[in-house]
Amino acid sequence: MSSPVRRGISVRSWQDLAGGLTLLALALLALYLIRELPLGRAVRMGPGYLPTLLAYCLGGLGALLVGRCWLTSPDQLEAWSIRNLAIVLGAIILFGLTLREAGLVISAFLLTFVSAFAARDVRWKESAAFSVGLVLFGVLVFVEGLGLPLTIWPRWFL
Amino acid sequence: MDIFANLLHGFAIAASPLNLFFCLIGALLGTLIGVLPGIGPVATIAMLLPITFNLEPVSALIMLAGIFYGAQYGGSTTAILVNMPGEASSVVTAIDGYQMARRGRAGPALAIAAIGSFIAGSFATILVAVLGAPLTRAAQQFGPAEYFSLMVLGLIAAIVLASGSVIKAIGMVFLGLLLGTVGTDIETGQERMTFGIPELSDGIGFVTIAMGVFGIAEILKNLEQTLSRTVLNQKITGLMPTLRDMKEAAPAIARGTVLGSILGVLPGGGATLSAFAAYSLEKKVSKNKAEFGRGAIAGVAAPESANNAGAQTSFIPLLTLGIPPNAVMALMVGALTIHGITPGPQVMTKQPDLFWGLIASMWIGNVMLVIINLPLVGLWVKLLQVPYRLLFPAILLFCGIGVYSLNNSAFDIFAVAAFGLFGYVLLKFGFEGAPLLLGFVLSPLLEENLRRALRLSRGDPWVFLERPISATLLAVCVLLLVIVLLPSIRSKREEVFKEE
Repeated sequence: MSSPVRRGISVRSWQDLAGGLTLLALALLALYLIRELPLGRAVRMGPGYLPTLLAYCLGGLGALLVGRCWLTSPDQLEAWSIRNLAIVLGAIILFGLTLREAGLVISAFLLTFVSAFAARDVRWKESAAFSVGLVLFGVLVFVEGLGLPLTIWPRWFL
Repeated sequence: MDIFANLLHGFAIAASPLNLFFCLIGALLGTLIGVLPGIGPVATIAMLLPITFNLEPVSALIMLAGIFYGAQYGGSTTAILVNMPGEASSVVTAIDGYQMARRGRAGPALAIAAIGSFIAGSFATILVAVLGAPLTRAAQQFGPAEYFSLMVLGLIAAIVLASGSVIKAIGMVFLGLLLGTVGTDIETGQERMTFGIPELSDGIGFVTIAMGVFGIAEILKNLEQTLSRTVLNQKITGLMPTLRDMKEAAPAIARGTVLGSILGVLPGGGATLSAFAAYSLEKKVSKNKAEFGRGAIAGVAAPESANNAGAQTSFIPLLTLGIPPNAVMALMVGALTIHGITPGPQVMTKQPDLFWGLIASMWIGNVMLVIINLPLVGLWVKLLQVPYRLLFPAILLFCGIGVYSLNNSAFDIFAVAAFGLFGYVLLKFGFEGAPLLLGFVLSPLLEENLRRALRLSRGDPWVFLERPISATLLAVCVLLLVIVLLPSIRSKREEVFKEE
């Protein structure tokens, strides 16, 4: 993202603006979620007392950041790597979806092999071989060694 | 003296074969992640926390502590040999350490770093033992009002000592506190901000947050940078420093140790700040300032002593007051709670084995680290050649298995992914993770003590100013905030953190 070239007052710190808006949004979300919780009084605080207080402080800081973005030292937002986000987070979610039913061997291989493609210099043969090694290591150390209650093979396999 | 009897007892516990084994594992793992850039002690400890569930609390703590101070040793190795600090706390070591290595003096640089670390580690061990009892006694006098003010001080100090923008750091503390209130309210049993998800009724797991923000988000950030690794292609000859080296390094080690020990105890302090401060101090007091940046041995000795001392003394507020001074200690709170131990003054009286065993293990661990690091330095450097493209899938797998085994629930895995995304967004907007984690861990304690203090005072908020200890603590808070917001100090502060 780049700042629009304008004369006069323009946003200088885009990180402050984006960060401030994020905090504001989170504060509003929190206030919405706790809107029905009783506040109580200072002497006997209800469940909503502290969260409400904190949410107001958070929102106030967000507003301060937004207000400040015209004044502070200029900076730009960094580009996001949507591709990496999708691959890495997708691989983790895949792991979560498959672990219980398909067992550690399959889900661990999926996690390590799929996520490897987030690296720019990925070599798929090398990564596949390394993933097999990691699966072996994981089964030996975590299941055999530490005795974690994980299924190793798929349920339908047994 | 009591201390000697207690320390002896501690050594008896730490020297049991099983605890020695876990101490070694911790030291080895710490060195490993210290050498490898892109993975720090916070992410590693978060990964291993669930696994320590099956261990004795003493063994678990001994291993996790070993990872933290072990990382300080390992970080210096790569800083010196490759000009690439494996840990943030070794950033300043790279300045003079790498220059020494380029002049063919890598051996003495590594040796001085290890010797300095060892001396600092031994001193810090004694300090923890000596300060433990009086601080615990002081903490036992604390009521809810004092505890509340102490926690506020801890959070403010974390803000002051964070490296980036002050307002953003305050924002992260509040966000952490707010996230900490998610779940069932202990007093009224009402659910707060759970979206009706049953897994959230116990609150958000700190392992999930720590792993997401420090593990996954870190990986996503690292993937965007190209890490180049050129290992100095020369034989490391002659480990032993000369007599002249020793003479130059000795006062630097002493100053670094003392400064690091003090900064480690402060809330918000710890290894990284200690190293930066020690390097600046050394540069100021040195007679030949021109040497700095060109391979001054004092520039290696001071920060390496300081970061190790700081890493260890940061256990003092955790074990005596129950207040974690930095992100790693926040995870230690988690390690203790997993085993049903509430950190605080009662640890020393009710769990003397844990308290003294852990302290003794730190010294044993330091001995191990000197042995692990010096002769095996070649092996650790070889590890650097493992490219990041192979490293991060392994980290992801260990994170995944670790977090799943907490509750045997896939929900936690998805939560880690969500917090990874959350952490990535925060990093992109210039926020830091450490104040968030501290706020999160302290949130339940803060709320409990606030409620109790106000109930005892019948709702009168002046109670925090009427009690002398509490008032003093709050006065320090205000002073800290005023200082950090003064324009002249602000520019100075930025200078300190930019000295890379």
